[in-house]
Amino acid sequence: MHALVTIARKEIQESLLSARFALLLVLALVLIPASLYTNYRSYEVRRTDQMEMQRRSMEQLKGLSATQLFTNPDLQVDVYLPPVASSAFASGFQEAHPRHVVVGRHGVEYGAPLEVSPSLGLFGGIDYLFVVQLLFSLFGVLLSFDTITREKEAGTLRSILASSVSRSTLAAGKFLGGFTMLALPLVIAFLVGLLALALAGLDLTTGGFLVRSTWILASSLLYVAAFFLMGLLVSTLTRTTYAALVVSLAVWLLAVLVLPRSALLVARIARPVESRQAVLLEKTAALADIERAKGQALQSVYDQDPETWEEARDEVVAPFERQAAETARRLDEEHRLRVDAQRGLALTVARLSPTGSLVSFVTEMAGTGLTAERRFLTDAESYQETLYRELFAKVFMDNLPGGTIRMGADPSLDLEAVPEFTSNPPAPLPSLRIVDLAILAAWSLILALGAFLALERYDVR
Amino acid sequence: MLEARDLTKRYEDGVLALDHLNLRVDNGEIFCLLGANGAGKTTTINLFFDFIQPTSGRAVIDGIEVAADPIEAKKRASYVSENVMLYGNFTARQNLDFFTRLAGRTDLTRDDYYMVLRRVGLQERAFEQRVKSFSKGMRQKLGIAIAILKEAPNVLLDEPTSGLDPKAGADFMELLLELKEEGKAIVMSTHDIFRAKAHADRVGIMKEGRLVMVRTREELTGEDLERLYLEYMQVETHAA
Repeated sequence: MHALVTIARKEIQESLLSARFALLLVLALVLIPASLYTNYRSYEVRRTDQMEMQRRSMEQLKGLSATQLFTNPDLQVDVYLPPVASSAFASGFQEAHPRHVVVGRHGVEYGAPLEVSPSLGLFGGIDYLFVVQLLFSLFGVLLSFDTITREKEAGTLRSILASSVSRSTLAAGKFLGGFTMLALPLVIAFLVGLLALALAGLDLTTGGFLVRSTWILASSLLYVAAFFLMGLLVSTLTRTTYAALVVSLAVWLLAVLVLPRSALLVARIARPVESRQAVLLEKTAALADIERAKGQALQSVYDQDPETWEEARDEVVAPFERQAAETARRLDEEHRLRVDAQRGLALTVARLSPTGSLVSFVTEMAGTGLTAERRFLTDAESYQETLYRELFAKVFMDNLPGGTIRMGADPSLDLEAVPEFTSNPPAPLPSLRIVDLAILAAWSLILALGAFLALERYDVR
Repeated sequence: MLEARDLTKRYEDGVLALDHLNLRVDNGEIFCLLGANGAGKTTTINLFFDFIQPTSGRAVIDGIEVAADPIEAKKRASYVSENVMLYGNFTARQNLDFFTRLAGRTDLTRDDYYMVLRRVGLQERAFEQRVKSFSKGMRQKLGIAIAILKEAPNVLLDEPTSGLDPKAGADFMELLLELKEEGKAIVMSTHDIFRAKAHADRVGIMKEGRLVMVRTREELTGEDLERLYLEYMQVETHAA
């Protein structure tokens, strides 16, 4: 135990004097609090803007005149994703997908992107997740890649191992000391970041924010531990510091940048999915066919008795409208299942790297992950069903024989009574993605085991 | 007590570095290993510190087989290399503190460190100086200070006086004699035939992994060790 602490302490002392540690500390102290603060301010702007846009959308709907209502069969309602404060940690899918959807008679479509700042789209933004994902993983490797090779080249490895210290104690001490110096800047910058959020006006005690933050920090520490151990393993498998640097950077590049980004590529090749626009076109064509069939059915009723056809209208039209609704729902559902399958595969492939698991876990905890997106779309679909019942089904436009169009509305239609969109608020503590934490822990365990075994066989000469 | 029993090391590339070495060094004895580069001297020391695994045979320290229980065995041996490698950014005292703690000595105070640094002949002003500014002689002194504080009953030294100036070399050998007087078993590999003859209780000559000659101090009295060494080298070379 004394030896373990002694080695760890020596690692800490050496790191404190190193430029690498100083650089990491400065970068962490600048980037994490600054990104949390600015992203929280963006969240506030987004929340205000979207609440206003949501309000205007409903106002426009309720302000429609009867003529506007009848002459607009493609009536649509804009629905906005309620932002969450914890998105300050990770923008998640919010940067990749529109944050608003359009609810129409025949389903839910993605709306146009909402931009907070045009420059973000061009250069990409920085958030806490980005800093941990790239910066800390890189420094994790940079602080450990020469842990063993440097001692070997300096000759101190022989001096240490001659001192009745086991190789596993040496590896454990190296990890303990090195990881402490990696975790310290992260924890300090994280706490300063929370302070910045509090100063920006966020009540940290609400909505399970602190619990989410704690889990985000815990997963980040597991993640950087994995990369530190990756460097340690490389250091025990190479003979020179130069070789260790080259191999470490190559592995880091693969794990952080190549593999997670290749995941979607692999999924797109293995499970291709048509675009939402293609689905929309398919839906439009199918609905047009149904509309034509409905017109023909009305035509035949009209031909039988032009005087009384209107009495049979609802009975004739009802099955076509059911068919239209079911067709639209089926096409949407099929597309959604294909998208889910593609994403599932992409996530599985991405999780081959610790980065995939970290991104998945942190975005879920921040409320900007796939679950939040799915919940938003599900809420929007539920809202679409409500709107269909309360609005769309009560407004009709029949293509009558001879090119005549007949429009009308159910007398029970009351625009004022059309409910507003409400999204279910995220749970204070979303269910943990245990699988991601388990993967991160497994990576650390495997890499630690590899490093320990490799050091046992390391040629000290 | 240090023992090598049929100790053999053949590397993966087929090179036979040590060929059935049998050797026993008792407490209070200095054994000097002479031999050309590649003769197997360093390999022998490497095997006693578990830096490499023997192909066959055993290295034993105070009855403990190194390969079977390296930690316990190494507790009983100190190591001083040709170039004592220390942490340049740490002071002499910090290096001493680090390596003696690793050796299990957690009871030492700053005064203990200073006392041993004085004993090995380091000047006071060097105690809190960073080691990267030290000469080789100063580093070797620090190396022997670590060995002293470890208080192990056995000491193995790998060409410790190589590259030292005559005064530093002589000082170093004086320290070694003190350790011998304390009852330590000492094995020193060296190219310095004169010091070996002057200070060793026994001298062994190694060639191509084998111990080809062993003489006691008494047996060497009146002998020209240098001539003997060269003869062995020639005989071996011709035989080969």
